[in-house]
Amino acid sequence: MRFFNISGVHRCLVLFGCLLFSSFAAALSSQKDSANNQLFSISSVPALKKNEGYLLINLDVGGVAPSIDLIRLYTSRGERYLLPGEPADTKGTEINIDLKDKEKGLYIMPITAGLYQISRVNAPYFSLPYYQDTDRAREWRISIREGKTNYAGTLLIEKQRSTHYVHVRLFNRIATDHAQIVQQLEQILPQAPLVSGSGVKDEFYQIWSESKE
Amino acid sequence: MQVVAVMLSISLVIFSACTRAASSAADFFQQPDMTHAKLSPNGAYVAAIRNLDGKQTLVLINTETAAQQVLLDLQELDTEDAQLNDIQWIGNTQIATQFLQSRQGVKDLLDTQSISSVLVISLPTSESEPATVRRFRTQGWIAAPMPEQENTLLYATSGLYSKLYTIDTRLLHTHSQRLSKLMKKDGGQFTKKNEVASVSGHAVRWFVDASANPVAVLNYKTANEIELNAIDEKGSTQLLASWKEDELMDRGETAEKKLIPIALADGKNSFYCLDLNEDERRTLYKVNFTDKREEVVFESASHKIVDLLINPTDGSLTGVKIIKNALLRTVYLGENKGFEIETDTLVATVGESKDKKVTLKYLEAHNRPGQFYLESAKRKQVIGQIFSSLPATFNAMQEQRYIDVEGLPIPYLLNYPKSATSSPAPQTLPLIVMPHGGPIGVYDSAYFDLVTQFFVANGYAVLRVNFRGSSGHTKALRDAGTKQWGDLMLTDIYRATKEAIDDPKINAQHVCLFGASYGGYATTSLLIQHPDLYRCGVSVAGVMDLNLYVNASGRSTQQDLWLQKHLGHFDNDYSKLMAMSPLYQVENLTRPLFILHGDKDEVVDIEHAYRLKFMLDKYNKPYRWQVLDDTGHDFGDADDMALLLQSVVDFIDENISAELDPNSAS
Repeated sequence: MRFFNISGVHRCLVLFGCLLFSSFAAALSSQKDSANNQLFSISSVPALKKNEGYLLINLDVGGVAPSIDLIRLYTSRGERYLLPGEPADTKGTEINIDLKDKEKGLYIMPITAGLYQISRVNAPYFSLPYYQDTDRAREWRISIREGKTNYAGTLLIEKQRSTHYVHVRLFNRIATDHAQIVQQLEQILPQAPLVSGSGVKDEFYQIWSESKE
Repeated sequence: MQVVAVMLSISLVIFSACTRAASSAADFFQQPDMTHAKLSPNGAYVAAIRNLDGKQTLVLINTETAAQQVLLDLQELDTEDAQLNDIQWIGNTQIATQFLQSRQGVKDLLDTQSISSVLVISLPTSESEPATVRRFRTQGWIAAPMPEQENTLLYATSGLYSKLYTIDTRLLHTHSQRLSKLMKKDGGQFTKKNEVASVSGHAVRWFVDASANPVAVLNYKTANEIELNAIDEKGSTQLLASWKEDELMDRGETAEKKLIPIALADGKNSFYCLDLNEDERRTLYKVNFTDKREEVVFESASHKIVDLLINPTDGSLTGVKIIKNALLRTVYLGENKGFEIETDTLVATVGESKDKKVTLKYLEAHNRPGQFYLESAKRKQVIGQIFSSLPATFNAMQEQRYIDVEGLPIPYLLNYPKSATSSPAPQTLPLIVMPHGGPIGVYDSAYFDLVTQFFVANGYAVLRVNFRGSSGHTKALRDAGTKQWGDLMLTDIYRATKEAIDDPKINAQHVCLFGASYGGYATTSLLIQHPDLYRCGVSVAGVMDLNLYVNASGRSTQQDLWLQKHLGHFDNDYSKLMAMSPLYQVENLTRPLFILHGDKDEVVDIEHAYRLKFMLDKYNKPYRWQVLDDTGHDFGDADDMALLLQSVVDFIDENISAELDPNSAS
């Protein structure tokens, strides 16, 4: 927009419109951020709304103020994963999930159903480089199904780090963590059954669950 | 008479089966003893690093009398978790070693919690005197000793301008000396007057010839660009090669080799190089950076190469340093340079005196744990062993054979107790089939293998197959492993087993499998698919779900692409990988299985073991299960290894003659 070539009134209108739009967008964004950036302990889980599922994650994180950045990805026709060759195009704004002072264990968060990318793991240490880009790496994706408890994995952020490196991993451990999940989410799972929340195809839990019945 | 003879034979077999000689794992698996040894230029002494009472000790061995004295005991330096890495002679009266010690540092910042310094130890003038220990206060490393000058060496520093200095070690301060303000650090020797060469940018490595003349340097030109520069007699540099760091650090998506020099080779502008693009750096290349010719000179059996051992006298390659079970170890090179096709005995020259009258050698064979010995016109004398608690020679045999599978010769090794060759043979031997890990770029070495000899000492024959994908042999063998994880690799092992049991000394009814990592995958798969042949299996850190493995976090882009190329694509090959995963074949398991997995394993996550457990429980299959506490993707230290291997051999002993479980038939 060539701002300085339009008349004074028009300029004001445009400026006002821009300001209005940006404040509206900021409000919407901050509404999104505040609704979707908090992990809850298992003892205080909010109810799911329409089109939401639970993100369940096992945390083993250390450091001064760790956090992760999460962003939604476009998927074709509501698929749970990206189709072969499909680009990892993002949707909406990035949300930051604070992990500070989170003890080791299971945490849960209601979130809109869809496919998500953990795009960055933040592990600040005073002035040192503090993030690990996980960018569009498929192994750092989480798939959320409506009305389900979607197990995203065990997130490890090592407390001890070196100057230029932080050790971070996301382990798909639905079998390893299963006993702990079933025991702690005893009240939740009947309403929101446990499924794999891996962002890549992984049918193990489904196969095991079905054959048990 | 005939009936009596038959009954006698039967009772002999039963008796000997019950009393098969058992060697304890605790006796076998101990910390290595002598790990490094260097001969002084005049041949009068050998300096060696030994593990004594669990601590590293620098010892001095008189080559005439074999008398040994302690030069440096880490316990006396009063440091926890300190380590000595590498030793080299500075003239005939001093030894330099890199000394790594932990310190408090900044909380939670690991690279501030250890410090590396160079110690220079002067030989005592008499046996009753202690050695003098001096230390460099200036951070850097020793580039080379000066060959014609006692007490002088080339020392490298790295910074915005990286330099090489000649340093007189007698002017250094002692290790424990506190410096006052009047004292000059390191005798004030890091000055222009002592400067030999200089380059702009942080030097990673200086390359120095046998006369201690700098001939090349690997340095950072900018934060993102690394250069290899040749240095002429006048100190001028000439660019030989350059790399962008982001390309080197795996952000590219090509499978081209990225050969980085780590040591000088013979020939102008020739270097020994490692391929940064290799999944695990096990291959050593020799590259001429003028005409770009390259050749493979060595392949490590199963561990990553991190540095080289160069003979200071003639600059020849004498060994490689690897990381094994988180420790720095040395693999010595013989004339066959790590390819074991021709011989199963390794003799390597570790050092030679200047007058060539005394040579320090290293010897290893399939039945001989590594030992250092001195050779002169007068005699041969062993001065130290890698495993001093083990016999110098085991009563064991080894055969190297080949089997043709789908037109490709597949090498394999068969090891067994020597008693099996006596006439008449006391019994037929039970067989343990040990598929190696990897699977690509790893091989079973024909030299000494501790685990193999442990089983042989316990009365087993051991079959190790260098199935397709293995390194250490031909390129064709290695390349044939692409996408054959669950196909021809397993066929190779199966067919070699079938051939081995045709050997009259092998009991074809008593065959079990034991493997780790890919070996654990192969063990479980073969046990399920061929219960007619294999009676039981032990899997350590085995891959059980190939899709889970392909999608694990923690790999670089390059590693991920490599794995998809050699194992399978995470999407296009999903169904195929699923079909090849033992996890989804468990219903057909009819033989006993022992599953072990480290809870800190980040190469093959413990989730593989738990998923298998879920499926075994689902189908009511009996199994044994053990989580190895605080253990990564290796067997742990010597004590852990002893416990693990004892439980493995106990399980195999109990189950190798097991009948089919009637309750587990599908």
